[in-house]
Amino acid sequence: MDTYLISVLSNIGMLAFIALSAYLLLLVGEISFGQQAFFAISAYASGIATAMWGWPFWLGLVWGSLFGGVAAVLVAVPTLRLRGLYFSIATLAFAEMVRLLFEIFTYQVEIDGELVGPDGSEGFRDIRLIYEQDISAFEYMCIIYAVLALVLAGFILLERSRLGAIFRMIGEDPMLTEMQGLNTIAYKLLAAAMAGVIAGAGGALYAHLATYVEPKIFNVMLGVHSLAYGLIGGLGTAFGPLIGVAIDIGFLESVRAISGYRMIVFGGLVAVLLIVRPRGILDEAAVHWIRRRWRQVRHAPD
Amino acid sequence: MLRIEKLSVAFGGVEALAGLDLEVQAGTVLGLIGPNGSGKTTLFNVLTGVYPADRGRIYLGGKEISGCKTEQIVRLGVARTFQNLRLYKRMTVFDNVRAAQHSLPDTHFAQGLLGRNPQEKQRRQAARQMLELTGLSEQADQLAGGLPLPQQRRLELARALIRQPDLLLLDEPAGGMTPAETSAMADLIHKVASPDRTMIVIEHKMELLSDLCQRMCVLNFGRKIAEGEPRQVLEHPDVLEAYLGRSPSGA
Repeated sequence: MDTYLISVLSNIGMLAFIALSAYLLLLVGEISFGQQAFFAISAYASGIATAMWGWPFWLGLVWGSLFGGVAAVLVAVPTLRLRGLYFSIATLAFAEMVRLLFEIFTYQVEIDGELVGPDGSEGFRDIRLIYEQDISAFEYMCIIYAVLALVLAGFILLERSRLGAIFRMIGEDPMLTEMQGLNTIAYKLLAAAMAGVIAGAGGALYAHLATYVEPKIFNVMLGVHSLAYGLIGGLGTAFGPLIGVAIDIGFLESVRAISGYRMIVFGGLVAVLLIVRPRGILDEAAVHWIRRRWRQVRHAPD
Repeated sequence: MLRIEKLSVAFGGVEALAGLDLEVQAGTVLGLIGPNGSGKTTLFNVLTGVYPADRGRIYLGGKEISGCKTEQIVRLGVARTFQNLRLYKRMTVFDNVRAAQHSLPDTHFAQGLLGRNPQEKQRRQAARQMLELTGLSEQADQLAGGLPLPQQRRLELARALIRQPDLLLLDEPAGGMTPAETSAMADLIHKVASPDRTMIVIEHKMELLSDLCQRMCVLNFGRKIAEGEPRQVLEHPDVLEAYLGRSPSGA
């Protein structure tokens, strides 16, 4: 497979995690501008685990994801009780705090005569596990998509479960959902934790693909993009945010003729969709229509 | 069943409820009437924990519920509908009814994880029966937001009923309906009334209330101005004054 194609597909895969993370919070009606913080925390945590402590990749991935989840809960506990945009502003502030902390975070150890580890604004170099283990770019892309498939399978189960229904109920009307006897704050916390873990998984995969992470990558634009992916692709299914990522990375950034205008086209696309289709291409009504049609086709007499 | 003692709620300087005392016996259908802004919906909101009370106490079946959260009150057997319809409009009619079942106690959790929860099957069946009772079976798979208003009101009622509440609060169940639709709604409420279900119904349409209620309570400026049997209450001078702006003598 062409290396450029592998690189584009790998980027789509990794950004899908952070898009799904923001999507999960959108499901419960919360707008987060800060999912990149958990992506960053996990990138550093998993990088430290594998490059400095010598942990295996899978353990680093789980460790980073859990770190993302715990950090998400710590942010959500004091902020989710607030109404309106307070949660959004808090997530934005937290993400910037995390980015600035990584600008000064230094923790290095000497391995084989070289200093390894995060070095403030210089970033965290030499997360070389995939080179040391001789994993090709194609193989690593397969790893990304295998983990993404697991997460998507989780979303498909979630959509069919009572928990998924409760998340959507909260997203549509939290007061009405409390009137159904449900503790909406507890469910939102659970959603925030799950979203933190998902963003964390993406961060860990990113750190090992890039082999180098620096704080400026995790700026607010990454958060805004991850939010926009769900709003473009649609909030009716977990495949919606993936469509959003594919449009942005797979089309706007990768087609060279228009890549220079990416941000203009992307911003325009978001603006147009917010007017004509505020819950994205695959919104709830579209997904409902597809499901009904599918059932009709399946049950139609031959 | 329900006892309210000296309940007061104020929004800024406006007293929405001012020292309200009310007692509703189990199995009674109470009509709650009063001019706009008299505190009827505020009473429902305080009863269901949406607004906290400034003063006073509320007892449900002998247990004090003032200060409890909405979800706790609902779990004690209270359900309601809303004056301004509240449905999950992006969900199907069937899922709207199912929404009220998600907090019911689960005694088959482990089986549920394996997708073999017999309770869930029973609940789905109960939801289907409820749609049949409320005449919404054919719309089960439609999005709730696409239903006409009378059916949306029926759906709200179905959702409130599916938990088999002991206390059902209906806030203008025939609001915005034609006389024929109101009559159909009255028939439906009659059908679901039972001796072990207490109901409080806010409504301006007397044709709906007169047959349905055993008792009636009238609020004005957050105070109870009359309570008793419907006919007596509607002839009460203070009620005529509040509704028509004049005393019965026409002075």
